[in-house]
Amino acid sequence: MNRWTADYSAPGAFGALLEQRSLQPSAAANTLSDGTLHCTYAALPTLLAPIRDRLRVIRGSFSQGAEQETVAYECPTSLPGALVLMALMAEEQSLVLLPSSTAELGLAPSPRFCRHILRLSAGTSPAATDLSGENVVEHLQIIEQVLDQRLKRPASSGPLFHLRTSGSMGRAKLVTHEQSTLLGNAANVAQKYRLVPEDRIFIPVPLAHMYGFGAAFLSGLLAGASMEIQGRSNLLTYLDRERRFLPNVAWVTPTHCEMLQRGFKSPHSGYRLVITSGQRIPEALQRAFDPLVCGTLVNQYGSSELGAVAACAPGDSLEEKVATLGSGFPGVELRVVLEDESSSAGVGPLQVKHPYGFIGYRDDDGQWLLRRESSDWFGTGDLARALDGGNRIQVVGRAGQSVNRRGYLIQLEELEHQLEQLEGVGQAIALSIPVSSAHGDTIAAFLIARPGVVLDVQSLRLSLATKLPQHATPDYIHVTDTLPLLPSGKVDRQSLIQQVIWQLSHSQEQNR
Amino acid sequence: MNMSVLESVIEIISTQLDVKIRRETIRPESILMEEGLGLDSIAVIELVTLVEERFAIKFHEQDLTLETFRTVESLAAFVENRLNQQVRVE
Repeated sequence: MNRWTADYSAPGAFGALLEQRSLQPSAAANTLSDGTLHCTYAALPTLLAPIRDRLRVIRGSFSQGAEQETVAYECPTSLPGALVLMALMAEEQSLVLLPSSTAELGLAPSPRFCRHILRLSAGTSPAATDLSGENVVEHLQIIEQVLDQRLKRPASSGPLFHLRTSGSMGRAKLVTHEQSTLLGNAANVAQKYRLVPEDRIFIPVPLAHMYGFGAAFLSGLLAGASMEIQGRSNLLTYLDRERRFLPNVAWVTPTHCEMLQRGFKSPHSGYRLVITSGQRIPEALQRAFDPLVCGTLVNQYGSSELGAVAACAPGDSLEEKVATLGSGFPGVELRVVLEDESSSAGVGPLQVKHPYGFIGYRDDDGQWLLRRESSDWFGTGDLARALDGGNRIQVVGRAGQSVNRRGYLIQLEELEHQLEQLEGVGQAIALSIPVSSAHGDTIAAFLIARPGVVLDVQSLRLSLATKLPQHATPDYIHVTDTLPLLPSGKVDRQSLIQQVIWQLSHSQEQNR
Repeated sequence: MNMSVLESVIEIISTQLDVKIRRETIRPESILMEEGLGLDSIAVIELVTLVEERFAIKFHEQDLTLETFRTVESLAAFVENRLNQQVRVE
């Protein structure tokens, strides 16, 4: 038993936790802030009360005999956003957590099984420091959508917490957690990183995400530490807030590391821990940035499905941190599955057994796509190699083909599927071209038309614009009659990639 | 204000940054980020690099502030200031 072991599945567990935090010795001193608004832990119950009341009214409006319904919540990365989220959890309301810019990002609208959509309208009261629960409720928009069908409530003993998988392009696939395991995951994080009330935790990543909320915010909340959240972080806003808040813990992404590398002209010694996650950090960047935070950088390996899986400790050597995943979070087991000849050099799929992982995937209608037990081994989609007789694990690459565009992970297979949905398209091949564009890697698509159809790239692009977000849209689209094949009958992707590279350099030559 | 510094900064934003901002919409008082020209985090980094290259100056860490990068003219003023300092040293 340690201070982090608690029964998070007990009714009212989260609400009780918030009460405890409001009464801890540092409750009047430790704050939650978004740079504009702030509150103390001590003030939390009073702040949350009116919001919780409002949520109870919504729940009361669920028709007689209706099983517990799920609310969709578009959460901004702000203190009011976090307060509403905490209130929802305290009220044990099942929810789907969505980014507040859902429409802007071109993602699918709210899941169809959610009768109510909650949104916080932007713009707080004129006196920006005048935060109250009533104020937040005033800005809380509640939109009711008509449910096409009555959906069965999935068997679970407590409230559910759904997240969109990252990299989704319009097809809603929801990762479903139980609220209790979400908290268990956060407790794991707090335990592994030894978070204490004296820590000052900076969270410049979106809240509506497993990383920003499940790992960063919740763990800090459990620890009762001061936290500073920041939406739409850039080099200047990061540096500005860092100067004022003086964090000793920061939750960042490789994109942050890339930009802070330009801004940190000398090492920042105030940190005891800087966690990066989201995509795997490139080795060169990790080596360049780690010294700039005095060796405190760790790469946290995890996912929306599993939460936090493994990480090195800041005290580990840079060589160790660059080469391996580190140790599993408490209770988490990892293994590399060695199959047949493909496992040359001991490389195979990486699987994880996690006590606090997700319970399954649901689609937009709430139907289960996959169910998972906590005793199941789950494939991460990564390939890895076990070193030192299995004591150290090294990730070698993604099992599927994926490409990074502006911080989003695009699965090429999914993109091909989307392209094949376009009118007249018979087959689509999407390729990652190792040539940088402003969005990250370059994506090229080759399309073969259905028999008798003539495809027009211009109109295809117009169709795509309504279906895909910008970052998922191929830079180059070629319509072709045939595709080069390998002896196995599979498309010779390498040959297509070389073709695109040649064309790109050839056109540059002509322009000189 | 040295018109050529201001003009150069505007020119960098409208033609060299990978953002679609038309020259006509950029004024000296235009706010660079957020509700103004809306430069995102990648564009901000590009801008820092392009300004450093164009004017052969270096931003120190303490120069990278929200005040300096608030508007087109605040950025241009900073650049002018730094150029003048460098001239004096020479």
